[in-house]
This record gives sequence, C-alpha cells and structure tokens, in this order.
Amino acid sequence: MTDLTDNRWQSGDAADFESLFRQYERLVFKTAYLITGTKEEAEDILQEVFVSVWKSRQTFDPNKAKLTTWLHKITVNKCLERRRKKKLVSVSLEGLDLPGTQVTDDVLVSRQEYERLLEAMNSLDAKHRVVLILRYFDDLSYEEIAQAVSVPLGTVKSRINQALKLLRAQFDVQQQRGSRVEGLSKL
Amino acid sequence: MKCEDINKMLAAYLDEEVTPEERGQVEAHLASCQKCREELRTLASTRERLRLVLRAEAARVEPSPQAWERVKQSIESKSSFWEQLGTYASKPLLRAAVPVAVVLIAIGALWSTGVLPGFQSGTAPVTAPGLTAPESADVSKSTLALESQQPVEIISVSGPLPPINPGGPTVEVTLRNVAPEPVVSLAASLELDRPFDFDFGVTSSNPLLPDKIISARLTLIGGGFSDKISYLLVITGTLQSGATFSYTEQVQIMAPPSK
Repeated sequence: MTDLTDNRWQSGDAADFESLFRQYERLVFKTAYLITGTKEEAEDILQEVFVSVWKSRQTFDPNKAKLTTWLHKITVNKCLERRRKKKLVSVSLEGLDLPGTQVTDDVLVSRQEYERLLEAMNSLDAKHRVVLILRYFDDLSYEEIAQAVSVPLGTVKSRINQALKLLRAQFDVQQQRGSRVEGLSKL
Repeated sequence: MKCEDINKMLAAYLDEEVTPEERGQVEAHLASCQKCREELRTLASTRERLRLVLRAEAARVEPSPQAWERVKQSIESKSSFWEQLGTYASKPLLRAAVPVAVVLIAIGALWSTGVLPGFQSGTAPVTAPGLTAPESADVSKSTLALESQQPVEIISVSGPLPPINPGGPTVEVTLRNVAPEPVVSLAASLELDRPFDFDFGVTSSNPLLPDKIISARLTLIGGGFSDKISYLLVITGTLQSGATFSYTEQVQIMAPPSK
C-alpha cells in the first residue's frame, strides 16, 4: 500500500499509482454513480478521473489541497461534463432488490419512502444534487465542497440549505401523489 | 433576527458549519419560535433520511474488477515514449529524427572523448528538429524532461480586471508557447461552477510563435470566483506539426497588480 503522505504516486511509477487507484476507486465510482445515476457512466468516469489524475499528477500540490478534495473536484467536473453532453439519467428503481426498511440509530425509512426520496433527489438539478451528495454521502466539509465545485463558501451554505428544502418539497409532492394513487386503488 | 434569516442558516447549523456567533443567533431565535423549531426538525429528518438512502444506494454498486486494467491500458498508451514526444512534433518526423539524433549524439560523445580519430573534442552538440539535445546522450533523461513540460505554460490567471462589470468579473489568462514550434490553435477553459472558454484567436494564419506570450480576456457572465480557491484550467491546442495537446492545471485567480 502506498503511503500517501509521501506522494510517491506522483512519481510516475505504475505500481504506486495502482495503490492510489485501489484506495480511492470506490469513492470516485460511488460518487459518480450517485451523480450520474448509471453504473456504466460511473465506470467511464472512474477511468476518465484516474487517467486525468495520472496526466496531471505533477500539478497536484498537497500543500494547497487535500487529495480527496482534488479527486472529488475532478469527479464532479467529469460528471458535469457528461451532463452538458446529455441530460443526467435518473437512477432506475426498476428491478431493484431493495430491503423492506433501512434502519439507522434513530431513522426508519420504508421502501416507499426510499423510492420517493430517490425520485425527489433525481428531480433536483445537478448543482443542488452534487452538493447534497458531497455533503451527505462523501461527508465533505463545506470548505471542501467549495473547493470541489469551485464556488465560494457562502454559496455552498445557501445551496445546501436550498437543496434540502427543495428535496423535502419534492418528497412531499411524491408522497401526496402516492397517497392519491393508493386512495384511488382503494375505491 | 427574522425567521427568514434564521431559515437560511438551518442546514449549516445542523451540519455544525456556523460560526459561534451564528450559532448563538440561531439558538436564541429557536428558543422563542415554534415555527422555526418545526422547520429545523423537518430539515433534520430529511437530512438523516437522505444520508441513509444515499449510503444504501451506493452500497448496491461496486466498480468492475477490470477497472484498473482499463485505466492501466489507457495511461500506458498515453505515457509511452513516442506519445510524449508526439506532443511536441509530428510522430513520423520524430520517429525518424530521434534515432538519428541519438546516434549523432553518441558519435559526438565519441568525438569529444577522442575515441573517434580525426575529430577535435568539444564539437557543438547536435540537435534534431523539434528536439533539444540533452547534455548527455541519455535518452531516458530527455523523455523525463518532456514528460514534465507542456508545450504551453500558464503565466498568470488574473481578475477581476477593471472596469467593474455588473454582469460578472473579467478574467485574463496569459500563456506562453514553450514548445520549439508554433502553436496553431489554442483554447483555455476555466472550470468554475461551469466552464468559461477563453479564445486566443490563434490560428494557422495567426500562430503563436515559440517563446511568445498571449493573453485572452473574458467576462464571466453570471460567474463568480474566490481568490482563496483553486480552479481547474484546461489548456488545449495544436502544434504546427499537427500534434495536439490537452492538460489540466489547478490555478488561483489572482488580483491584477495595481498600477
């Protein structure tokens, strides 16, 4: 395993670079999957991100930014680049083997809520979706998100606040729609 | 503070991303406002559910076991010796020129050491077109030198430039051609929350000659930046020989020097 504190991966040695890849491939892949909504695109983006990291490895300065922030930044850029070429595809709920419920310490989410929240997430525009994923999946601080999406810290604060409210509003719309459908089916 | 102002801070408050002063303001307001306490509860519940759904959704997928092989193939093809040289001059030319240069340099070394009779030592170094001869005939060193250098270097990215434009700040990108041949197309894309493309007007009839500097200005309509954040600048272009180049650097947009 490469000791990333010595930045050996920047030397151009393929074995050291592979260690870096192994350490971060899941982070890049899963973030890309949540943003783009498809496994195939996430695979392509994973490849593009690490080829890009390899090509610009000598420009990365560990004194200026954290490696993970840099990786997130490149991942987000690659995802948005694709989005500009074609509209983001929503995560398909068809054929998913979802558990009946998901439980954490104090949160219980039914399968229905799970689906509706995902649908609500997919209805958000990319800029709101990206900050929510970086914050609530990748656990980046607001400062790190500001660097990853290249906006000032104040914009990140307002964007996350706004995104959570939009998400809640969309979720409520899905819930109401669901209740209406359930009500009609009982008639 | 009004409910509206407090509402804007609630997510940051939950995420512990507020200053101690803001925290005090939020908590003082919440103590006396039932409506905002309810809003906070709703936001907290959405946030927790979202966190859970994102993690469960991400847990369903894993990268392909062949992912590294694909990256490896790609970086090996991109960093081969000829590929690196190809960014500086046409490949057919270099494929012919480099072996000749290596042989000539080796002969030069033999001249200088007196191994080859009939020649004086200290003969001027021999260079191939488009390639500076290294100090010694060590080809691996010249490859490394090329790997670390791009044909166009970034001199500066500065802004906001006067006059103040209400539509957005004006930024200037300045580049220098450090390749041994003219650049015949050149573009730079500054990645803020969306890309902003700078056009340098470089064409085959208006090339950027070696060692020349060029600037392009662009008003980033609807865009903003901070001098504390580094941004990605993507440089792409074509050399006269037809070789193309594209690379990305992290840059900071610095205030222009005051006059």
